Amino acid sequence: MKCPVQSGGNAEILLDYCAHSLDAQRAALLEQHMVECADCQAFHDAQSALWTTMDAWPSYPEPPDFDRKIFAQIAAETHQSRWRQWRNVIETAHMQPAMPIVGACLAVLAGLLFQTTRPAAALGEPPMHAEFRVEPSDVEQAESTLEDLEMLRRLPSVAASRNTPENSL
Amino acid sequence: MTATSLTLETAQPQLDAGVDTYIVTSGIALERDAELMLRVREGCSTSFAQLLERHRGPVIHFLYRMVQNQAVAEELAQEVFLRVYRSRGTYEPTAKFTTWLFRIATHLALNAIRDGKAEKNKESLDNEQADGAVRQVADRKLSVEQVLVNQVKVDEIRRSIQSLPDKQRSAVLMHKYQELEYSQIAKVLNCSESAVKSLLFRAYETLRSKLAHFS
Repeated sequence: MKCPVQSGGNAEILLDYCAHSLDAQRAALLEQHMVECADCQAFHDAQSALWTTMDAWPSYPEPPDFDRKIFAQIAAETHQSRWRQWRNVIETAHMQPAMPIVGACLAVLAGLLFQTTRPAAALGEPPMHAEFRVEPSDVEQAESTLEDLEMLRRLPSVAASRNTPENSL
Repeated sequence: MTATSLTLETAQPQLDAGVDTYIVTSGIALERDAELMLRVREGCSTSFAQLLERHRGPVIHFLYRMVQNQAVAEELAQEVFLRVYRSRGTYEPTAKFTTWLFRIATHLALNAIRDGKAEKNKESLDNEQADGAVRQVADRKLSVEQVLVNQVKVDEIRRSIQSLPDKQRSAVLMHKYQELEYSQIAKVLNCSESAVKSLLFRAYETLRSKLAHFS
C-alpha cells in the first residue's frame, strides 16, 4: 500500500479511518500498513485524539417552540401573500418597457369614455336660452355675400342677352 | 402534475430494510426527504412538519456551531426552513435534500458571520448563557473540578474552530458533526471533492496542533 502520509494524495483515507467511515477492505489494508509505518501510526493517534476531543463539544437542546414559530411565520406570510402579489405585479410592471404603451392605451380609453359620457353642453350645442351677440362687421360680411350670390344668379341671363342676333350684328 | 410526482403514486416504501428511500416502479429510488418535499409542493403541511422533525436538530446544531450564538442560530435555522417552504413551488429533486438544506444553512451562516450579526450578540465564553441554559451537558457524577475542566476544553474547541477560515470551518463541522459525505460538502461549498479533502486536511492539521494538549 502506498503510504498516505508520504504520498499526500490519499490522506483522506486516514481521516476516514479515524471517522470509522472507511470500508472494511481498505481499513484492513491501512491497519496492515500502519503496523510498519510510524508516520501513519502517529497521524492516526493524533487524529483519533482530536476526534475524541471534538466530541466533548455538545449540541445544545432544541428550542421547544421552534416548529410553532415557523408555522406562525408561514401563516403570517400566507395572509400577506395576496397583497404582496399585487405589489410585486405593480413593482415589476413599473419596470417594464411596455408601460408607456399601456399608459397611452389607458389615456385613449379614458378619452373615449369621456366623449361618450359628457353632457350635451360640452359637445358645443348652444343652450336654449343662450344669448347671441351680432357684431356690425358680421352684418356687412353677410350683406356682401348675399350681393355676390345675387350677381352669380343673374350671370347666365346677362350672358344670354349678349348672345341675341341684335347684339351679334 | 409533473413526471416526478406521477411516479410517487406508484412508489412503495421500503419499510423492512429500514432505508430512507422509496422504490419507484420505474426503477428510480426517490429519497424520502425529496418525496416529502414533493408532497409539500402539492400543499401537504404534514409533510413539511415531518421534514422539520427530521432536520430541525442537525440544522440548528450546525448553525449553532457555525455562528456560536444560540439566538442567532435559532433565527437562522428558522430562516432556512422558511426558505425551504418558500421554494416548494420550484423544488425539483435533482440533488440530495440534505445537501440543499445545508447549502442554504451555510450560506446564511457565512452571511451572518460576515455581517457581524453573531458578533453583536456574542455570548461570552467566560460567562454562562443569558437564558441560564448550560452549555455543558449536566452530569451529576462529575465533580466541580471536572465540570470546569470540561468547560475549558469546550471553550477551547469552540475558539479553535472559530479561528478557522470560513470554508474550512464549514467543511469540518459538516464532516465531523453532521457526517456529510465529501461529495455533499463539495456541493454545499460549491467546490470540487478534492478541494474539500484538501480543506479538511488543512483544517484538521490546524486543530490537531491547537488542541494537542488535550490528548
